[in-house]
This record gives sequence, C-alpha cells and structure tokens, in this order.
Amino acid sequence: MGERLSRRDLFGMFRKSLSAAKADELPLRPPGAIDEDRIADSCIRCGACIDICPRRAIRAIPRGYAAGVGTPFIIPREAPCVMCGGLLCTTVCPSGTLRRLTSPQEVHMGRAIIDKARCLPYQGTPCSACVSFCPVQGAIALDAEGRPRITEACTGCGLCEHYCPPDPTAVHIRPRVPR
Amino acid sequence: MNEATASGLCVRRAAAADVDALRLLAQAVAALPLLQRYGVQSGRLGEDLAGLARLHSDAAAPANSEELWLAEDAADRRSLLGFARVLVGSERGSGHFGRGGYLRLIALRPGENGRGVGSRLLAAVEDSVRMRHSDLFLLTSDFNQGAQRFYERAGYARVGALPDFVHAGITELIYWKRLLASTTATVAASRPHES
Repeated sequence: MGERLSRRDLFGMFRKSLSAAKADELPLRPPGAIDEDRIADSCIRCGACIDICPRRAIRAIPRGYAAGVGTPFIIPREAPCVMCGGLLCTTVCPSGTLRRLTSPQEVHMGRAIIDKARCLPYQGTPCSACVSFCPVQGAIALDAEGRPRITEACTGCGLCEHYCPPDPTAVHIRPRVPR
Repeated sequence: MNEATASGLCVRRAAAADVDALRLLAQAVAALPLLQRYGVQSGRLGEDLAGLARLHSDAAAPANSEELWLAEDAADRRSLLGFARVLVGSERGSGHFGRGGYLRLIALRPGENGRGVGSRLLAAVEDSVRMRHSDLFLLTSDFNQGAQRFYERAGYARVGALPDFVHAGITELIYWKRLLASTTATVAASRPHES
C-alpha cells in the first residue's frame, strides 16, 4: 500500500481541492463566515445562527453534500440574507465561525452575477427589481439603458436573486472563493 | 421558483417612470368599497403615489421615510396590479414606537385578489423593513375581516384598538409582527433611561 498521509497532508489536499473548485459549487455562507476550508472544522453545529435568523434564510447543509454537513448556508433564491439590523447571526456564533460584524459594508458573502441572456433589461424589457431590493447603495449600477451592472460594493446577500422575476433567475450569487 | 416570483409576479420599488400607471392604478383602487368608506379621492391618491415614485428616482432628494412598492405581472408590464406604502425610519432605533416600520396600506387593483399579489407585496415590505427595524405595525378597519385574516395568516398579532382614530364610527385594529428576534442589546438600546 502507499505511504500513510498525515493529517497535515490531508488538510492540504482538501484545501487545494476547495481552491480549485468553481465558486458556483461552493455553498453560500452567512455573513462573517471564515474561509470555506476552515468552516467544517470550526463550526460546532449548534444551530444558533439558524435559530436567530429573522428571515429563516440560514439552514444546515444536509446529509449527502460532499463536505460540511450541518454547517450553515443560504439558498438566496428561496430565502435571502436581508442583512438584518444588527447582523444577528454574527452575534451568536460561539465558535467564531461567523465573525461578529457591525455594518453591512463588512459583509462579503459573495458577488452577484448577471446572466445577460435572461436579464430583462438586456432583452429590451424594463425591470428594476434587483436594484429595488439591493440594500447596499451603489452595488448595482444601471447604465443609460437601465441595464444593471454589479459593482465591487456587492456583498452577495442574494436579495437581487430572490426577487429577480425570470424563472430561472437572471441573477445568481457566486460565493466568495477561498483565498 | 420561490415565493417572490411564483405566479409570474414582479415586485419592485416605484420609480418616476411609473407616474402615469400609478395615476391609473389610484383611479381603480379608489373605487374599492374600503377606500370609498374612508372618502379617499382618486386624484389625491394618484398624486400622493406619483410624488413618492418621483422621490424614489431622485438621487438628490433627502432620504425618504416612505417607500412605495409595486406589483406587476412579470410577463405583462402594461398595468400595475397593486401597491404597498410603508413608513420606515431611516436609522435603527427610529421609526414607529422607536422600533419599527408602519405599513400604511396594501391595495390591489379590483379583481386581482387571490393570486398572491398581496402576499408578495407584504413579503417585500417586510424584507425592506427588516434591514433597519425589528418590528412592523399596521392598522386594519374593524369591519375588514378579510384583511384581518390575511395579516393573521402572515404572523401578525392583534394588539390593540383605536376607536374613531381615522374615521368616525370605525375602530382601527392595531397589528404587530416581530421581524427580528429580540436580543438583550436591542432591548437595552431602545429602553428609556431608568434611574
């Protein structure tokens, strides 16, 4: 048989595979989450963030998912993070997996990506649903034709994806890629 | 599909481009028996809504404390299906009772009941208010049992009554929904000074 891998080797392989993975394949984590490759070890699966989320947006990764079963994630099309007053989930995490944040500007869950082939203004139909719900000023800019463009200010909360009229959605959140 | 886009509905904030459509919507809504009973005039309602829509589109306007949300058919944008007006404080700790938003009115174009338009508008209002406040309040008329059932299904609790508050002979029922879990920090911050 081959040589025995150390814990450090295994961790390195896991980290490498996460970094190589497409962001789309990673779960969208709640505000304040530490890097993806540390969450499975850090989170104690207490459910405090899930319980306190006023939008019921945070849920636990179910069995069958490759990694991180029981850790918190968000499906914005079903229930987005509204970056509630107080960013409550970041205040209750006992393990430090969700670091305490004090303002929406500190949130960096991911970034919205617009599918121009589905986005109504890019097809000539007026629509401003994403801009209407965006809680971060300047995160979605409109060009002269009213077509949305995502800027660096986007936090990845997912309100735009949730309220996007086309089905399937024309906006989806790409989770933050591990550094 | 989710609850926001189910039934092909689009919910969004009003903009200046909606002014003409809002005047038409106001005309239709003002004919509803509920608003007739309060003596609402379509012209005035239309101008109120148009003014809010213009403010939403004016980047130079001061932070507006009233939001106007619209529902329309995602596949047919020719007419608006309904609107929701909500008063919100601009900062945490402000707003009604120092804690929340106040939903002034949800009104639908006659014939648009029953396809989820009101629920979509209410969800949008709650998401917007939840970003700043912990609570949402509203009033319904004592005779409007349909609205009372609607809000109770949505998780609102009847917490009081105001006889003759808006119109003589009509009691306004106060409804309240907690949008954020109460924490020690938020309760302490909102409590008046105790010696």
